[in-house]
Amino acid sequence: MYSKINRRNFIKKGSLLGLGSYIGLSLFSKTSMAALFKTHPSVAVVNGSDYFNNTKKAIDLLGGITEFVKKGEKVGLLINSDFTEKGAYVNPDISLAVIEQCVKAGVSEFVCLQNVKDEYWKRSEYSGSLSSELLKVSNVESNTFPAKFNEEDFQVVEKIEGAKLLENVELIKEIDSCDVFINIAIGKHHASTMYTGAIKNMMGICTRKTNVYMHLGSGTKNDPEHLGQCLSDINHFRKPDLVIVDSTYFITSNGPVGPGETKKPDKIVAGTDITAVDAYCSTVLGYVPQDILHIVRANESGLGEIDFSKVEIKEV
Amino acid sequence: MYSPTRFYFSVFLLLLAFSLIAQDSTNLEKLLPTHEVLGDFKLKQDVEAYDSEDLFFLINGGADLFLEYGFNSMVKADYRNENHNLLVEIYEMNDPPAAFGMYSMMQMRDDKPDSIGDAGQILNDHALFAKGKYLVKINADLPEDQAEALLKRMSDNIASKIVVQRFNPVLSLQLLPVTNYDLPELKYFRGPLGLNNIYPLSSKNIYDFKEGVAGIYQGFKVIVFNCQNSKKALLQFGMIADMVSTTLKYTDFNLTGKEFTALDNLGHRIYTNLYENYVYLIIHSKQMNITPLKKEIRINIDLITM
Repeated sequence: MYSKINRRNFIKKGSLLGLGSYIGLSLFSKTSMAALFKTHPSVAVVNGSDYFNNTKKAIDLLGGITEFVKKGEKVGLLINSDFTEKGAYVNPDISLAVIEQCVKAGVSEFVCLQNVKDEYWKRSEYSGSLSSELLKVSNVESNTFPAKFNEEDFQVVEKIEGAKLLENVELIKEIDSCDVFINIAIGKHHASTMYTGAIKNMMGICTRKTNVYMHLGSGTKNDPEHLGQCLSDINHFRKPDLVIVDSTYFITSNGPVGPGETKKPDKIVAGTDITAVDAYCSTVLGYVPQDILHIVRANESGLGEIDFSKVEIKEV
Repeated sequence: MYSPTRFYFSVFLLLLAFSLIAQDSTNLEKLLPTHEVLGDFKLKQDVEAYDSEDLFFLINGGADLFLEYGFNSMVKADYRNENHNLLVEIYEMNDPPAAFGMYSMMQMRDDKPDSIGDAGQILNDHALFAKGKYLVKINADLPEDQAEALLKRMSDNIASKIVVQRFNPVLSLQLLPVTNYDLPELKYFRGPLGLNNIYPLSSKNIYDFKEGVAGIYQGFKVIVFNCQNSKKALLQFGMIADMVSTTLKYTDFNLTGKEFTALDNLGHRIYTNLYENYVYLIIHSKQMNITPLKKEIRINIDLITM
């Protein structure tokens, strides 16, 4: 079975073991520790048209960027950027706000786990003023659609702990070297899953072959159960430390590529619970989260909460 | 008075009342624009070709919808002149309704009719049209005022090379009501993915219909799909009723014989009826009187099945 060990995990596990011994408890998981000392909401929602500053506000509502990153750490970014139609990709102001915040917190380097082209950054008016921050950003260039396996950048994970269907998954190696993982997605329409957001964005760390398996692997052309379970499975590989979903302006039909009908709720949604964030964002599109199979499967497999009555949501 | 929308609707009716069986497999590359219209645009790289499930390696999201309609192959050609890019994609679908169905899903709401192919539009920086079993998409990164003329020239050039030979009947858009209502935006679908684009009834695949048509009207939607026989239609109706009665999205479920109503999470009332081999849905506001609509749809079904 595949096991991930990186600097952050190693330190975290070591600290937890030490603390557990000290207070006489055997072991605290990250989740239980967070629950014990929790002072911030699980989901933060900021309304308004200033997406750059509102992204920073959303992070502040979660306790500020230093809750997630520390000086000298390496951050992996997974940004849904590879579309051309406005409303089909994350507004770059949002991604740049995250980078700016991380740099202020002392992050040493970023790696875009899926290749982000220069033209994406240039769509933002902030790209010029943040050019020095962008110099810290590198890319896994071979992870460009349609990504093909190569020994240098990809690994085959035979079995993911917690996964039910996915096996022999081809995914990028670089994610293992990141201390912090931030998933930045757009919540929009998708013809196959109705809603796509952060959970489905995780397909971005896989080769196209693996992603095609998720779509067609059951042998049926449209098998939403199979796809929903696979999407939940891939999220067990690594849970994001921070999730940000762009619900500012998005397509509500003809997704995920567009062009299509659009909606502009002007919301930035951030959180630590990927299922809760996606569940919230699916309602912004007009869905009921319990109708979106991959959100349901993620919840069932312990990846987060689908029931809003159990989630603290702070909206400003 | 001339109504562009009415003209547009008539063209679609003509198209879908009779399925156009296009020529046998054409070499798709031969359909690409010729040098007379390309001018100084040159190929940036070799023309790319994709078959069947390889489409997933071309389309980043949305390939499954092509497969649902029935997709054979496609070519993609990327051109560039000194200042601009031009991207031409030609998809060969299994049959003309499949090409029209994809067109109906991809088109943008637009009142302006464009006489390209069997159904088409030029909007902003792109052209999209269906002719026979081919779906053509062209993108040009030119200013809008220059793009329109170029896109029209390219589209006409490609369309002129697609020869349509004979007609066969398919499910007709004449099922949709038009009396007393503004003409709708038309959709043709062949499976749950297409249906979910029109109205997300269920994320689970509970469907067993052959094909369907939908009209997006001002303030309401009508969706009609037909099943292979009355037994399958009854089963299909039962599956939908069961799903609606047990899904959180819907409340106020009320079943009477072969029809039911419910309220969705956005406050729309959904009326569903089993009639002959057809199941139809009307999604409407609570206040709307749908009795005339129901009557017209049933008359249309009677006319089609006579």
